[in-house]
Amino acid sequence: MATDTLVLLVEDNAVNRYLARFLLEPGGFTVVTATNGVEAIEQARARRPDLILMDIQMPVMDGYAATRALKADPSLQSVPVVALTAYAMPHEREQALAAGCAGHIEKPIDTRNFIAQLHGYLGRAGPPAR
Amino acid sequence: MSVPLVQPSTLSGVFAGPTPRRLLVASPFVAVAIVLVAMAIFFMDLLSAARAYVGGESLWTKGQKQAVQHLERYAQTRAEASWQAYSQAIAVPLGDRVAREELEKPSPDYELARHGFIAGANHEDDIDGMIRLFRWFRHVSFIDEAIRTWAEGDELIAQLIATADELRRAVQGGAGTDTLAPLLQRIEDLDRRLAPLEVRFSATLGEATRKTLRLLTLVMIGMAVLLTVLGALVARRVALRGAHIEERLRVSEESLREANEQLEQRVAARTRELREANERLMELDRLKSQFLATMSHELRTPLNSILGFTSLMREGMAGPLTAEQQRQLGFVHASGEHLLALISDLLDLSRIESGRMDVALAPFDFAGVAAEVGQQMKPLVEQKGLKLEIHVPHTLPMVGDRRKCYQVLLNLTNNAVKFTERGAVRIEAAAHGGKLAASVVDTGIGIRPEQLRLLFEAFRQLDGTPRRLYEGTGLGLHLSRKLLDLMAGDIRVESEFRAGSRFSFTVPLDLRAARRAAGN
Repeated sequence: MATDTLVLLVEDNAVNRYLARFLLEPGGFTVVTATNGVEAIEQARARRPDLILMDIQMPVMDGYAATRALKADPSLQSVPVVALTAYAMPHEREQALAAGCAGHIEKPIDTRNFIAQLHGYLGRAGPPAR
Repeated sequence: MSVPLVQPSTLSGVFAGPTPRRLLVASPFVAVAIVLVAMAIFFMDLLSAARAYVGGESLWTKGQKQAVQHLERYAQTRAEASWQAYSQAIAVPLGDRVAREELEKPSPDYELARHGFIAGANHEDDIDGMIRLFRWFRHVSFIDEAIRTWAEGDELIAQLIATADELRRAVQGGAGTDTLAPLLQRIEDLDRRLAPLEVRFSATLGEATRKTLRLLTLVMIGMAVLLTVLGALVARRVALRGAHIEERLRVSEESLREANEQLEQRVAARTRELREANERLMELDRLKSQFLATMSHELRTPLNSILGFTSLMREGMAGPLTAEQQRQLGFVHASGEHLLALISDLLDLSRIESGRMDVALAPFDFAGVAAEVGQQMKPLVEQKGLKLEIHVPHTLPMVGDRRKCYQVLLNLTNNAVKFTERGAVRIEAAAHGGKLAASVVDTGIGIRPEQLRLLFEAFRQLDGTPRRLYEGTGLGLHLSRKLLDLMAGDIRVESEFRAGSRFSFTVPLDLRAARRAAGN
């Protein structure tokens, strides 16, 4: 069942959260959100998501620190974390991978490929049936 | 830092000195020594002569006494032998008299005087000294008195001889004792009168000798004192000069040391200033990069929403749109894409300017790059109803930075498509002389000749007013040229206004090898 797939969306910008939710929910994902790294860890422990979409630049705790903390938690380290990078600097991607991210999606989000990219990280061949 | 203060030769020059200088210092000593030796010899000579006179006087006195004794015996015995003995004895004072009388003349006959002294029984070796003493010092009081005493003696000797001659005549005449007695009496008187003269002569000469000796002693002491003082003066002068040189040396060492210290302090201060300035610059550069990164991120965040929602709406995911709404949303989306490209270019330029743009050196196929650009441009090309032709060999292997080559080719192709309303855009590439030679040719609006040279400048300001050649070129060409500079490549443009343009660029096929060759 498509609605079984739970995505934790970590993003501090409300409009971008809305955009991502708008893309994810019609794509068959259930979305929970967090606005910074600390909330992300709390939500991950409480909700056990199948995938985490992690913005990097955030207040309180940034995406790198949050990812490192998640990967240090044995019960959460198998959950794939996908970084949302603005690609401001070339080392951002390397840093994201070094922190434990499975990969990265460049912002601005390519709305046409977004869902397909996520399914790639979930290890599925194609988008779930609607 | 150290600088030799004084050449070693300067020191040795002062203390050891060249030969003339040493002689100059020694000359007073030599002079005093010569004077001392000369005086010693001179006074010895004088003393020796005085001794000879005293000796001569005793012989003179002896001769006179014997003469008187022989006369007395002659008077008693009337023997011719006694007279002969008298004559011999009196010859001594007579010889001395000849010498004295000759030496008292203004220009004496020295040979005659010498014979006189020899007759006076003086030793031959003493005679020259005796003559010198007489001639040089006869006006000195002592010698003068001695000579006068001597002359008095000679006067009495003359009377004695006259009396003796009277006595002889009387004896030869057969006179009696009565006649001889007064003559003998006269002779006795003369003898008595001569005795004190003889004593006075010797005493005067003895006094002269003692005075001379005292004088000599005084002179010797004076000379010794003079030498000592002179030596002390020279020693002091040398010591003073040494001290003076040491002082000068010390002063110059001191000033050099101070100069060195000042220099070191200045160097240290300047180094500190430079380091601080460098640190400030590095901090500023870091802040600039940080600012650009942050700004870029901040600009991309709203762009994410703009581009995201416009695509959603254009795809009809938010509901159906009218044709005009679709068209206007297209403008919004294109402007957003343009803004995004500008931000990326700006960030790239900033990295190049600060020298933090790395160039990859990896193998790749330029044919793949051209195909990817074609794929990327496909939607826009189709939308404008243009043809995109790609004339590239099946494979075109290179070693270098694939992403930057892609960026340049995409930028040139994008511009060509943007400024071409009908016709075709053609990508050409081939290996030529160790280089990739690529061109993008269009049939677009072209560029005015006077604008060609400004093409690769970033937002070039002309006549004090910001002026863009064409809408949309932005930083792309400027960035392309900078990227090609990084890859040892170049770019040029040929264009005919209203007919089309050809942008060509070259890059070494093997950038690693090209760099190695350039480094050697």
